[in-house]
Amino acid sequence: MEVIKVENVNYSYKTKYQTVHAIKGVSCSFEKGLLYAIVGESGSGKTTLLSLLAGLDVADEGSILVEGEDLRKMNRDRYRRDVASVVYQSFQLFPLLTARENVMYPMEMKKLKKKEAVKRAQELLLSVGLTEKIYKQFPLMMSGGEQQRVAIARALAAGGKILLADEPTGNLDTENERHIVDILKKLAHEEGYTVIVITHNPEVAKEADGVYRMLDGRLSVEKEGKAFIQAKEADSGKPAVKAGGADD
Amino acid sequence: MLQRAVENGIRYKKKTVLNLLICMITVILLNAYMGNIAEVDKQMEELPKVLPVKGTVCNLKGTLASGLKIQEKYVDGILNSEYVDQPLFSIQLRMGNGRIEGDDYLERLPYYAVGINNAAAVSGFSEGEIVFSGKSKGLSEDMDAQTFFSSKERICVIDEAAAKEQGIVPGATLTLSAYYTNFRQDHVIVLEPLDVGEYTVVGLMNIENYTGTDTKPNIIIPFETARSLFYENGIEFYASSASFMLKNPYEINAFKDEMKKLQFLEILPGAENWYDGYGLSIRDETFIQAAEQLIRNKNLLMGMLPFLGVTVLCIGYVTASLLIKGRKPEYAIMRSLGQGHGSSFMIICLEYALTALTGCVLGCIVSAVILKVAAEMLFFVTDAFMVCYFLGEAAALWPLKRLSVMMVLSQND
Repeated sequence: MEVIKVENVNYSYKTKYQTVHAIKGVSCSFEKGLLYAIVGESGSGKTTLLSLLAGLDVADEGSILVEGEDLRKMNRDRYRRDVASVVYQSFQLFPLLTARENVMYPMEMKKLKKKEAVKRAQELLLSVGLTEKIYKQFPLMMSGGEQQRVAIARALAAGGKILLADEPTGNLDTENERHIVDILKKLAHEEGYTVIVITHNPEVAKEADGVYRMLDGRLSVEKEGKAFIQAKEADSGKPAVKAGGADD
Repeated sequence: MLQRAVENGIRYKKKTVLNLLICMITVILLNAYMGNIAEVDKQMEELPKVLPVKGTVCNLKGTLASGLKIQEKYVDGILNSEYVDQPLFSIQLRMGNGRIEGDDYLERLPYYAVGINNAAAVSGFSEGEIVFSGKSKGLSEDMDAQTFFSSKERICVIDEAAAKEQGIVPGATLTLSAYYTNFRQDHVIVLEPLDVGEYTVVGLMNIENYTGTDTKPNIIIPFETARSLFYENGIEFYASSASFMLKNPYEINAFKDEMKKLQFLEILPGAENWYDGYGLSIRDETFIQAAEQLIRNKNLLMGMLPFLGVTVLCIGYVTASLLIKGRKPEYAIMRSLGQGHGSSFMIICLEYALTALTGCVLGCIVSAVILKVAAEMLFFVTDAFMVCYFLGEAAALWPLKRLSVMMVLSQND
């Protein structure tokens, strides 16, 4: 099932000296229950695309449809609160909130009772492999892997089914990178999340069901995994045209 | 939102305490400054009491202030003016016992009488120097100074020594001939008969420290009694001296306009030296000098107020700018998690504003205890401080609106 459909999106921004056309006519779609990777060189427009998908910026032209609804016309704050969450390379936890408080934050924004928020936060922390000893620790007391897991737990706390991740393993060692990828895969394949990961890391891309490559603001399909193809076919009702470079 | 702001304030203890101290000190300084303005206001308010402005009617040359011929229109003009306080009038008469006839009348007028409306109209004389004799014959009430000076009855107070010499006791009735000074148009001054009548002696007096330039009076009658003697005998009334204080010296210009309409003139040193009393001498130089100095001081202090406002605004701006410096990612995280721009902005703004308010309240408490600043001033300072501080703070935090959330959060630190 197609959750996000990007249609001919253009986006540019102005710097002090020039106008940068960061996204040029990008079209793609993202299915429910799949893990996607968007790869590309630095400055190719990956993060800008993620920003558009997160509703943090608005496309100049074209449209981004989320479950058929134009993101431009949606309340984008509510969209991030209820539908899509973002995880960042530098974790971006509130520095003076404990792990549990960080996870509780989105729930408190939704006015969930504190008792329930505490319970749910602990469940989420547990689900990303963090034990009780971490609950009351502040971000700076935790390892990078732990912080990223807290960040993922916080993203899940919002309750949305779209998870956007910007280089989630960029600051982690191999072992922690493995754990995070496993969590993301599990979220996509077992819990039905649409997970879109921006990454430089070929190991992460290898695990994805579909890989897009950004090059100078343009997007191309680099890999279509089995699940990716099946999902496309299910959507269109006919076999999808396979792009080059697929290995599944 | 409020709870979140308070919690943040508690979490960022050091920054909060620093902000609080800055606000507290600023408010104390503001209160001290406003206290100076209040002090100048108080001095201005008290200035008329400290430096009262006295007006005296004199001749046009300014050489005489008593023994004048002050026409009745001037007397009534002063009496009815809303700007005048404590008007003092006198009319000098000469008196002798019994009905006086013959050319040697001058030798038979032993009494220097004066009709006054207040003891202070005679220099160096006070009400305390009169001993009233209690209930006197023919008078309905016990006599006191106020009753005496406002009376129109033929009553008098007589000098103790003169009474002893003449064998007069309080309560006695005297037949007295009164003579007035006639300032003739041909510049000849003559004493002419005014009235003969019976007076009740209601008290004795002893003027110990007389400082007047005329002969010390030994009979005092009420001013209005003296005025009525002129009326009853068909003679044009005049007063011998008139002086007064200004109720509100700050209204001196309006008062001067009113006196001009009454045809009082300013002193002319080159004028003829005669007894007509229509010159007006107002001793206002010291008052005006002091008032102008105070007004200058106040204007200076008030003139600096906008700059103080700008300073507080800058304090709000700089403080908020410094405090937010390391917290932009926090704001961006809030936005990333779906917190609206308005509420994210308000959480931070409210946090700083609450800290500022707390500092302001503490500053006011310290000011009230140490500087003894009045409550209304404290409220004014609090309001002004909070408005200026909040504007500065909002200006510092406003760029958050344009913050690129993704750019801030994607930075790999």
